[in-house]
Amino acid sequence: MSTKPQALVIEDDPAQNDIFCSALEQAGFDVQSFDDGQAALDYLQVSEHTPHLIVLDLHLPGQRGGTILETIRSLPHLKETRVLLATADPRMAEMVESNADLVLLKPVSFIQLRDLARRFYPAEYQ
Amino acid sequence: MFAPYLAHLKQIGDRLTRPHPDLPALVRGRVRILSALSLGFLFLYLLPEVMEDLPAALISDVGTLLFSIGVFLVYLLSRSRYGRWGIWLFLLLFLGNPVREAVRHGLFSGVPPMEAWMNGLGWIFIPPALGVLLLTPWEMLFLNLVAGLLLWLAPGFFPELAVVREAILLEAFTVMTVLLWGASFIRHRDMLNLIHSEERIRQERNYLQTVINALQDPFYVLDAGTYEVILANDAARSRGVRSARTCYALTHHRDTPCSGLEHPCPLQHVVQHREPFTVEHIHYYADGTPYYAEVHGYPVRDENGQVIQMVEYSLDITERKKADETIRQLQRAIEHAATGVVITGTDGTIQYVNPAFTRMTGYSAAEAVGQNPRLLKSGKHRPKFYTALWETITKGKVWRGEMINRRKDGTFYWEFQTIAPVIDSQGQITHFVAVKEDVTRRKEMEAALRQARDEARQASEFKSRLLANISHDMRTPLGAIIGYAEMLADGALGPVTEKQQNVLRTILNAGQTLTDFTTNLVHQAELESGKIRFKPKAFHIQELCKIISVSEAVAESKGVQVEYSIHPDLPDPLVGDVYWLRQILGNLLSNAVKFTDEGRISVSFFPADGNRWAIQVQDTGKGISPEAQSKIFEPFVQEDGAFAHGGSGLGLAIVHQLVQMMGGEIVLESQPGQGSTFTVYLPVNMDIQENPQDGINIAL
Repeated sequence: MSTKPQALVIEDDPAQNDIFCSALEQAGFDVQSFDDGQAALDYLQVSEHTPHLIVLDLHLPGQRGGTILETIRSLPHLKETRVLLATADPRMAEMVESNADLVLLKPVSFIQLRDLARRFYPAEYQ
Repeated sequence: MFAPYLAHLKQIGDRLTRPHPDLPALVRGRVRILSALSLGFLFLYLLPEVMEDLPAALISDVGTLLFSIGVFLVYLLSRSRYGRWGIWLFLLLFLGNPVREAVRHGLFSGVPPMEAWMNGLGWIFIPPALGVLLLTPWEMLFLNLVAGLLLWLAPGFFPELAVVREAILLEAFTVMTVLLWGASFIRHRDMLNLIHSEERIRQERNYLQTVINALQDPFYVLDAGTYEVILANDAARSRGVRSARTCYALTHHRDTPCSGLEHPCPLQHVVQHREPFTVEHIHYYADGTPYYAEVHGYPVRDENGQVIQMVEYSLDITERKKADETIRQLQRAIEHAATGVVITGTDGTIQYVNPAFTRMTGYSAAEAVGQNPRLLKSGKHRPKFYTALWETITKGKVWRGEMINRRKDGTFYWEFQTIAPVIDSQGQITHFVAVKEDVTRRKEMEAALRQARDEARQASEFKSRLLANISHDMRTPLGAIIGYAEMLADGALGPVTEKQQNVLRTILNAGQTLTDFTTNLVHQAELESGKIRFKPKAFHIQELCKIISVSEAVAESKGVQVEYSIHPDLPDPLVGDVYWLRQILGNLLSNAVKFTDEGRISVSFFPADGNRWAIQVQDTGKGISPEAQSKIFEPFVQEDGAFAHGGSGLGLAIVHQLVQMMGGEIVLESQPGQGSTFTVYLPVNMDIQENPQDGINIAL
């Protein structure tokens, strides 16, 4: 077990991916990043991989963000995992709100995401 | 020469002797003779006395007076329904005549002389003779027996009368009685024959009259010489035709026989040509109303073949003439109508088409008549369509609708058709009438308009989609700009100088402005295309307040403070569409931040009048001039007419439209240099208004 809680960033845009990763690292997470939905899903299917926090882009090549979110919610070993959904479509944000822990409307503020990640930081690592 | 006087006398005689109508036919003839006789007797009897000295004679001769009164009574009785008693009274008067003679010559001057008796007895032969005329044979016999008895028994009481037996032989009297009796029989038989033939004639006349009365049209017989009506039926009489009046007076209101009229006089024609004749012309009712008559004349010839009378009957054909006229007018109207008219039999066979049909379809009347309307079938409709049509009209209902048909030249056209069944008085369908209008041009225009409308809709949708895509695609690079600028400003990538911080702040503000702009662009496009549908839900005011933090960051970078307050009486939860309420508040706030360089921005939520609540955004900015206030809610308008402070000028317009759609109201209070206050009043129970710009409407 690593000393830091695990976090996952699934975002195809490299700049966004970089910013999300920085924000989560600053919040104290060990961040794994993917730019492809299918690769991320394959990773998550493995039951040893139990990230605490996932920042998921809704519009991804390969797999749609919504499908990934549903799969995450259906996997028993990811029951504790918090999911932050990032989308550029304000209406989409309304629609999937209930399924995600939080929806972030792009452009996502670096500061805001860092603060949010700190709030979701698991107590056992503090 | 004397004929007119004789006729006149006869008329007077007829009038003086006319018997009572209640009397049986057998008695009528007799009492008529009686009244004539009694009048004659009265005249003859009184004449000598009148020539002498009537009053003196009547006074001196009571018998004459009584006899005259008696005869006058007989006349009166003979004219009454008691005519029969008149006969007996008359005969009794004559039987009593011997007594009268005796009284006349004896009572006033002693015993009457034998001559007086003889004179009186002479009268006794008159009643049996009169009996032939006045009595039936058996009455006659009875009267004679009484007279004979009187004659033979009288000398027993009056010995002077024995001479009578010698004067009148019994045998002679008996022979006279038998002869008179025989004469009475012959006379009686003749009378019966006469009565029967008269009765028969009367019955035949009645029969004839009944027959002609049965005719509903005027029927009468005219005299060829005088033009007078001899006989007329009830229908003729009800139109004023009377016997003994001339036809020209009755039907043409003239004083002389018709001549020089447009039509020949049927009577003159029949007399001249001695053959039946028919002519149509105007007649007049008794009240002067003209009517169109079809007059039929038929000659009545005498034994020499000369026309002496004419049987005429006239049919009132006014209605027929009017109907003919109406039919002619309708026919003319249909022939010249712009719409096609087709008449078919119940089996659909075309019986008539008008010229407009020919113009519409290319088929001439000769080509179409006898065909079925299937001739025009385009094959563009399903068989069910035609089945439904036939079901409708064969049920007696009217079918209306549009269909594609094919012209003779093979081209297609649209027609609007009304097909109506023609129903006779028995309720049976006899024909179908179809009225057709070529609506091809209208159809084409409709199609063009529909296409234009669809294209306009597509263009509008395309615009919305394009804007949404632009907005979406801008958000990702904006994420990079804002994210990296924040990382830099935060020092995550190393220390930054004061000057660099300022630059980063500007980048961040510009990024936020651009973000707001993309949001507003999408919203404006949605408002224009009418896509916005509110989804009101219960919510807490804090959910709405989250949006404040976005503007707060930008405001603080300008040194402007943002504060907000919630009135304790504000209902909780409220009902509304939080997403759009956030857009309203966000736009009001970003507007306030834009135009405020120092001071503070206060946001307050409070309950308002009329079951409403309010969102108020107050700033200490530069304020808005009254001229600008009137236009500030229109899209793309900013007070200084430029994008000096960033922003598109869409924000307030979107707020205004959204508030209106929510059934609320936005109030702006501002003075230049004094800051501005925007207050949005919203109903507590959000009433969802239909979008005022719902789609693109093209009126067809």
